[in-house]
Amino acid sequence: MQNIENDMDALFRKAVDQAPLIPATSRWEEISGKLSGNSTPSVAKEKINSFKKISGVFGYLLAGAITLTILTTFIKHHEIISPDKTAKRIGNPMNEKALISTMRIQDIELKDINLFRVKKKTSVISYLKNENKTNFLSDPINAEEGKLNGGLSLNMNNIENINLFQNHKSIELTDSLNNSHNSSLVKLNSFHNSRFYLGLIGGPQLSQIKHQGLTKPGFDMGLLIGYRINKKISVETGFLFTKQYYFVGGKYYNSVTGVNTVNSMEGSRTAFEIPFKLNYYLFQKKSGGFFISAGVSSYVGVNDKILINVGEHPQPPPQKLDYGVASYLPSYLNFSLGYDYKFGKSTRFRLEPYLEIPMSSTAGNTININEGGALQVFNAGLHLVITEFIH
Amino acid sequence: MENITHIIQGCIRKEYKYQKILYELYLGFALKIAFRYMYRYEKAIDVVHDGFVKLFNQFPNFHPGTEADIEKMLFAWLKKIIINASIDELRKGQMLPEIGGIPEYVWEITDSNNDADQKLLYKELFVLILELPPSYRTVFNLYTIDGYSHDEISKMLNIPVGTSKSNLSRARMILQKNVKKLEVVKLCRI
Repeated sequence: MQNIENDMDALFRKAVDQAPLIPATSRWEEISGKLSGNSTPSVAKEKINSFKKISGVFGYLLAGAITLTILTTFIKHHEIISPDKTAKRIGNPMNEKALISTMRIQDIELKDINLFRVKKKTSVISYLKNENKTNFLSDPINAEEGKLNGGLSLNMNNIENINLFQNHKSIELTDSLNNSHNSSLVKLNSFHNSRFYLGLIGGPQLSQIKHQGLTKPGFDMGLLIGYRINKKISVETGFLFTKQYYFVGGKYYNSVTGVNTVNSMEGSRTAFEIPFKLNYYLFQKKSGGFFISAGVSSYVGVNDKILINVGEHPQPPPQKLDYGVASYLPSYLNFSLGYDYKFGKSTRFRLEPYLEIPMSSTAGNTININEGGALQVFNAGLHLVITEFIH
Repeated sequence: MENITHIIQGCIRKEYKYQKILYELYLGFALKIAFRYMYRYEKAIDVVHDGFVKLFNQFPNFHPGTEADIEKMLFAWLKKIIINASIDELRKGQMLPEIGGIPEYVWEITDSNNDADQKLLYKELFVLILELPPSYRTVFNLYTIDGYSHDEISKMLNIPVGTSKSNLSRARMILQKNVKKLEVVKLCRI
């Protein structure tokens, strides 16, 4: 028995040594770019990949910088002003965006109103009368009491929000202690202190490859952060976990062996989506508004599992295909439309059907069903979003 | 033709020209090793490329001995790198099902003389190794072809020594069974 084994081992050793395997054609260019620290001229493809990675990172840094700038601007506008600084600033009234150029509060003809936040939950209203003399509805230094003409007396420390309504030329003051407000003032076009909002997002999603039909729906869910630039436009980004399912016929399996016995392939994907989009409100009513949006999405941490249904072998175990490398480059164009329901003072609920169209092939928008090819995945779904403005 | 010592020195200095010469010189050798472990030819090529990248990146750490055995050392080092790269690839478990057979274009059989028959036999034996289940194939290659001990295999594959032995035994049984199917005439020609 030992001799047979030895003979057989020797036979296979000889066979391995002498097997007439054709040496592969040189693909030096594929590896030269991966070599570190040498003077190898990088291959164009590698250069492009490096460029893509760098530009992707810079893209996100740029987006981060823009967000930071907006945030900084926001904070500056809403900073807690010490009494000294307040006194200084009140001497030179600022034209806050919240201001309404001409307002009438009972019999006072106001030319300008400034809104200052002295400290948390304390606001000071100043105004310019026709003679351009600065007047205050409350003492900026000792803002304990604010008195509006007509006898409405308020403890300014308890004021949480001051909403200015252009249409009715009136001011609504909300008392933070009992959360009540003067009901005689009608709400219209309320102004929010904050333009930032946070949200929870999620919903069903369908994925399709090569018009091969749909399989069971996937889903996505995550967090959303947005900034309302003005009444019409807002920008949003977020971080979503995505689970997708897809199906594709066996003819798309490009076997390197030339023998194709695959009937079909079913796959699933988990990934993280980072969207960046712009919302444009077509019209708004008191209860909400219609909007359309467009943007891009990056898929990172992509992980695919593909089940290959083969004729001869009914169902081999699922084969895991992992790209390993995340692509931070945007890989999808996003389009959506939706309706934003407003309820409460700053809470909104949104229904938003969307479509994701793959851009040029990246790891984020393709599945690699074999060594030879990558197929692009189209996604569509419905997002349910609940948002809350940050105060 | 450049001297191998000269090429190696160039690679240690990370010079593009010498790296390319070495790659083209040993590509066939490396591919033959990787293809024993990887069922798919294209995947074997990928493994070889990964192996060469590791080799060139680590070349400054290569300490050539005497001129007489410098090439042997390089062969042994490259072989070890390719085997490790193959095992890493197999360990990832990212392989597609090993179906569809080995493509004919990877073999060089054109003549119709005795030598061609022998080459055909070697090819068929090589394919028998490839057709083993991956775990049996890996152990068979490591033990029988590449000369590793069961202890070493156990550490490399992170499996018990007993498993290594039983995998080898089962691999041999399958191979024996399949060898019998080959024509006896062809066996006699060896």
